[in-house]
Amino acid sequence: MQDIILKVRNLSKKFNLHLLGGKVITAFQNASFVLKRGEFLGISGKSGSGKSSLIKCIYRTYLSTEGEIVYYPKNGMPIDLARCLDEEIIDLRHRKIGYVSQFFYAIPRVSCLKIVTQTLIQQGVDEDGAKRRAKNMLLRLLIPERLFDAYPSTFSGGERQRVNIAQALVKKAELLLLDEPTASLDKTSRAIVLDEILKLKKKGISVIGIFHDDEELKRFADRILVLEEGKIKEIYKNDKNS
Amino acid sequence: MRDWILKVENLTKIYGDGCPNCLKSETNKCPFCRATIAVNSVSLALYSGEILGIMGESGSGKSTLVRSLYFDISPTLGEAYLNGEERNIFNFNSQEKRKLRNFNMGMVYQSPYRGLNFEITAGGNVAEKLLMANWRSYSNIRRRLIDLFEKTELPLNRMDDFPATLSGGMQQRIQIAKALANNPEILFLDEPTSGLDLSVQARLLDLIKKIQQELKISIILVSHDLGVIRLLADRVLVMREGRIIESGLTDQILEDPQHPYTQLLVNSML
Repeated sequence: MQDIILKVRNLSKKFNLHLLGGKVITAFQNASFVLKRGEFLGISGKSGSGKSSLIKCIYRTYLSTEGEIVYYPKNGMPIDLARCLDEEIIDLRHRKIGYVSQFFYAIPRVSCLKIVTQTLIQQGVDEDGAKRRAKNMLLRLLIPERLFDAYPSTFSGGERQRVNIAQALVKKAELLLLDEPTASLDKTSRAIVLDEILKLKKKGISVIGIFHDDEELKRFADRILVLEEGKIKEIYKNDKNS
Repeated sequence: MRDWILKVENLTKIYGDGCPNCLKSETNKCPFCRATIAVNSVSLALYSGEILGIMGESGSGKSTLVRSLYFDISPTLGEAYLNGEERNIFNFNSQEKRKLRNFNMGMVYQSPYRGLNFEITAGGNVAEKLLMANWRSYSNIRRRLIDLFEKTELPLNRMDDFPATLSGGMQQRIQIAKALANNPEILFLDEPTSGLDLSVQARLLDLIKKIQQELKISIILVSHDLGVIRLLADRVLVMREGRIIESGLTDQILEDPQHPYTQLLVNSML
């Protein structure tokens, strides 16, 4: 049996909107699946089917309503991401779990090089090494050197998103969560980003990813999980990718 | 995982005589004895190297909480512990408390009038904190002042000016320099940027972030401004009517708040 990195069981997410008189909106329910170590699991489904919510629950930006998300780190004890302490999540985010959101909230007045360097320093890399690796990653994602000390809040949408991707890809996370990372990119930079993700996958990093383009998804995914109105419709092996 | 550095248990501050029903009160005004329960049974842990945000509207007890921890206010009930010290710090004698304030803690108040002595120079204000920590050599103090002014990006040629002649942003920097003077482990920031214009606020927030990363200091940051919290805090506690009603990771509190009041706050964000 292959080694497992994540086991999601009966996971549900409901929003209780108190401002609307306690209206309950279900994002998804009863989701159960496993992610094998080194596997790329694609999530597909229509807009509003609960894809982003599922990823956000795993990253703990959303609190899960029911169920568990057991993460098995390479070294150390399994941990339920749905219930563990905030401090434990902060630690995992620094060292083990990477996340690329659809939108990047750029911290004002922090240079793009610093943003990327910082994620490595948090992981315990020394400053010189962190800077070198950050520069490399930014260059590979076509952020020119002259922009290194500029603030991403002044960048174009595509440039900003590539900084966002750089900071998630640069650290060697064990688990990478991708929420439509390429949605705002043009064709060239999209191809480059996809290439970098493929490299990470070859290095054995486990990925759960949403891509708005099904063709893209089929290029990488080992298996594809299909969500329909908050329920898992099927999980199938992607034959195109071998 | 990181170690905790400060642990607070059931901290309560009641203004007025108080009665056995005060702690059960839903609001911060006891319906039986009319006492004000500014802080009601608050427990928290601050972990090393983190920025813990405390948010909530005016009158929710945020400032009373941090001022109690800095010994400005003596709490009615409750305990607080520093890691490695078995005694409740609220039971320390006044000399021990002064030592903690001078060596282990720093504080920046919203109002510079509370944090600075306007009768003495900017440099004098910072030097005062050094003197309290038994610095004696004039040249060492001068060197440390220059170091602190540079660290907090204060122009050296303003060192001998009086606080009243400095801008609001500079006054806050003096407070930060003073708070950092003795390399404390814990820094309390009570609305450090409120009332400043946006560009000054942005530079101060930068400075706080930089200091936190360089000095690996643990910070409790009180702010009613969700933008400031989002920018700086790793975790957040939400206070209302003297109690903590919700706590979580900053992104989780802002994107998926659970309590009706927090939902209202977050939805009111511009």
